[in-house]
Amino acid sequence: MRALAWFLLLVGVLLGAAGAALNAEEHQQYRAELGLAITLERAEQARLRAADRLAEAPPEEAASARDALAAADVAIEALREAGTFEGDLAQAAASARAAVSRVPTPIERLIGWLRVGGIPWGLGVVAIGAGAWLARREQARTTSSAATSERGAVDFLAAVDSAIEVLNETGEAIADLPLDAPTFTVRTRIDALQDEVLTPLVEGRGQLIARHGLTTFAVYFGAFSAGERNLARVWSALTDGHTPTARDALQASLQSFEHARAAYVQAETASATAAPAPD
Amino acid sequence: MNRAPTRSYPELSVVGVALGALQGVVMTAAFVYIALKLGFGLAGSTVAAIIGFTLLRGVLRRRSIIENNINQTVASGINTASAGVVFTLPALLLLSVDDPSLQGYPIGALIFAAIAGSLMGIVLIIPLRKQMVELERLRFPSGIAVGTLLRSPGEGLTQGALLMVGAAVAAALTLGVNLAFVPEELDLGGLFALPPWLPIALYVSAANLGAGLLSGKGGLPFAAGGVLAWWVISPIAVGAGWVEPIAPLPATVQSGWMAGEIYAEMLRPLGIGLLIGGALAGVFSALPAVTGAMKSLAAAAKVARQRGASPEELPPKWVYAGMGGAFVLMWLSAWFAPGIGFFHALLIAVVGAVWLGLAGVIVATATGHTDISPLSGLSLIAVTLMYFLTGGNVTASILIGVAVCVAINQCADMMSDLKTGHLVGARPRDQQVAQLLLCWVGPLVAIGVLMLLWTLPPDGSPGFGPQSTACLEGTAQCLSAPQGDALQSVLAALSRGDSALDKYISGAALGGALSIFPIGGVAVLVGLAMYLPFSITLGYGVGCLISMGLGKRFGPRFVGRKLVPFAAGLIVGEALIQLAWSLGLLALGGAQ
Repeated sequence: MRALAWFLLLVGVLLGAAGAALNAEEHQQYRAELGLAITLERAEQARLRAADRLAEAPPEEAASARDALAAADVAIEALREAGTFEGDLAQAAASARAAVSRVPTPIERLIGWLRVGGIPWGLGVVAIGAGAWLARREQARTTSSAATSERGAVDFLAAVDSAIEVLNETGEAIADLPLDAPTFTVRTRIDALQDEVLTPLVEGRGQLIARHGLTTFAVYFGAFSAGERNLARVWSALTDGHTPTARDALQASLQSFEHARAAYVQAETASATAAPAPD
Repeated sequence: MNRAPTRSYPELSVVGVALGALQGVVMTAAFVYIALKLGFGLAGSTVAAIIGFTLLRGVLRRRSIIENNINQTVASGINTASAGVVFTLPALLLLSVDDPSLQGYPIGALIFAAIAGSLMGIVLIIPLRKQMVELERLRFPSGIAVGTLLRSPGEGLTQGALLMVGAAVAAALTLGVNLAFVPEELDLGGLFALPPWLPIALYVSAANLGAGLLSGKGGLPFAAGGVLAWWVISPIAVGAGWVEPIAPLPATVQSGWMAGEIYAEMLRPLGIGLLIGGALAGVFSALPAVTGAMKSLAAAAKVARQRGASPEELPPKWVYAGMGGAFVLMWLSAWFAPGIGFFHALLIAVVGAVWLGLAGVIVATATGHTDISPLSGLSLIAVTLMYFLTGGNVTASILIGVAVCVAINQCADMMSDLKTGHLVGARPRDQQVAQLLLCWVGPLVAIGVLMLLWTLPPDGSPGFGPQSTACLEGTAQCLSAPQGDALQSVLAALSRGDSALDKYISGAALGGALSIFPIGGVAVLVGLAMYLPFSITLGYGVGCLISMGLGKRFGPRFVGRKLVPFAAGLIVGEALIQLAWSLGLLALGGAQ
């Protein structure tokens, strides 16, 4: 099912984007005419600028000004040889500008585009929608099986309990520390907690969202994040040698993790109550 | 032992805020000038963090990571107005040269509009912070880079050394590019004589590579979007004759024209459409979480009041009051525009605010994933919307364009600063209060400097733009204002009725459908890839692939402890060198 979802996504994006990228014929024609006028006008302006520069250039800049003029002439000659224009460049530019069609209005452009690109675009949108539906079903199935398997399960309570344990130990370690005391070991412990326990939990939060839904997840994970932020505050204050602030932040972090724990237990109880009884 | 504190911990301090404000004002003035001269702005957060780090920690001996975070938040919050104003307002001034009816520009209304945008950008981010930083865990590469820099005094020697190595590599590369020893773009396709519509090119930027390294697997849809656009759709478009050739034309000119047409007439507007559709779907799907976030803000405020403490986040009443105030300001500013009635102004303000909110989400999501902000495209849509809504009233269109541009820049910057705050343990409330208190400063300075430069010539000629005396004479003082000039061209095209409505609508539908797919931010990333030149997307994608490869080979701890500081160094180093280079260029230009 996963392969089919990805296949539909790829086909849908390709069809949809290609269809959307198409332009109405009237618009393409308008752009080509405008492009010709702009190309000739730019060539003419480049030559005029180069000629002006040569006329006003002091002796030390004359050589580079001559080179610029020669380059402009070469570019014009290339256009002439390719058959882009004949005769006088300025006249050709003016004629090209006069020949530019009226710009299609946004509504005309939209209707014209629907005519040429509407079908592939529409098919693409439908394919993406179908692929997304399949992918969401597959994700729900995978996360629920990961949550029930021991290897893939994200254990929120275990992670929060670890955090609370480390915070309690840290609290004891810094309880009597004076200002500016060295705290490298304590901070290393906080880093390890972040890297080994909290970050993996954050990475696996998709399972939690799939399990409880975004609204419920937001309640306990918001509290968890506040605990994490206050843990970072403990780290910063210890680095700056300000242990009283670290102690306050540590208490705030503990409270947040405990709040997250309680909210998570509540969410689990609610989902267990809502789940149908086994046969 | 003595447990009583002998000093307070500096956080939302007068010194931190004052230094941030001072830096912000100086950077705003300098960046307005730089953007008029060179056409691009600079990353304010990174620069402010480096200067703050030097001044607060080095010179003033104030040891507080969090105070520096406040300083950098304030400075970049003020500075965001510079890009917002410089990308939009010059178009009105440039158009007024040939159209005397536009010369009575309502300065007061413009300032109101810019302040409204600044205020709305900040309050919009309050509920979105929980969604994007805490729940979605968007990367915000610059936010991580600044966080890594701020934390460096407490990290081990290895991390500090890696940060420095990254910064040194970035400095060498940036200098190499600026001195033309290294090309700005490695055109690998040119080596195989590939046409411009089938590009294989890498944008040479350490910061771009660093952003890719920091994003890892999450950034892959962005690279995939670029591949789809340039290696699939573009060749199909040429092969199937979807681009009308200018016949006859020399072959090299022809293929260059086709590449330009594919980008400007197909991919870029389609990318904007995808961004809109992706953001609309994202807002819709995140609505439960944002509602939950608002409820949790209210609950947290209540609990804090009961405990007699100040809440860590601003309560919802601040969000509502800020939004209401910003809306009224926007309404009034639209009403002050010539030819706009009271109720017409209300309609303009409603549409402007809705678009502003959506654009804010788009830009915060795009920055969160890639560090790249589609600022000009979103401002262009704002101006287009307003142009049609006001029946072609250029002044009113640009006025709302200024508000939107300032707001979305504020959204991206604020969210990145809040990500940094999350990493270093700052209180979001402190960051947001500091920003709110000073949200009026940036618009005032940016518009003030811009108008000063515009009216500087004593003979009444334009102070900048292609028709200014300095630019006509080709002197070093020429400020060509490329972004304003580009918006002016867009307005001229709109006045001819030239608008890619079909691409915006079809792209939005595709973006909406793509968003149903369970890959975070996929529509916004694919849209952004189509919107940008491929060389940027490819360079970023290379960074993502390297990060994934290293993660697979050495594990996530290696990525977190080794790769992140190095990549952060790449971003920090480039920002610093670009700032020094730009200021040096300006000083040399001034001396000449």
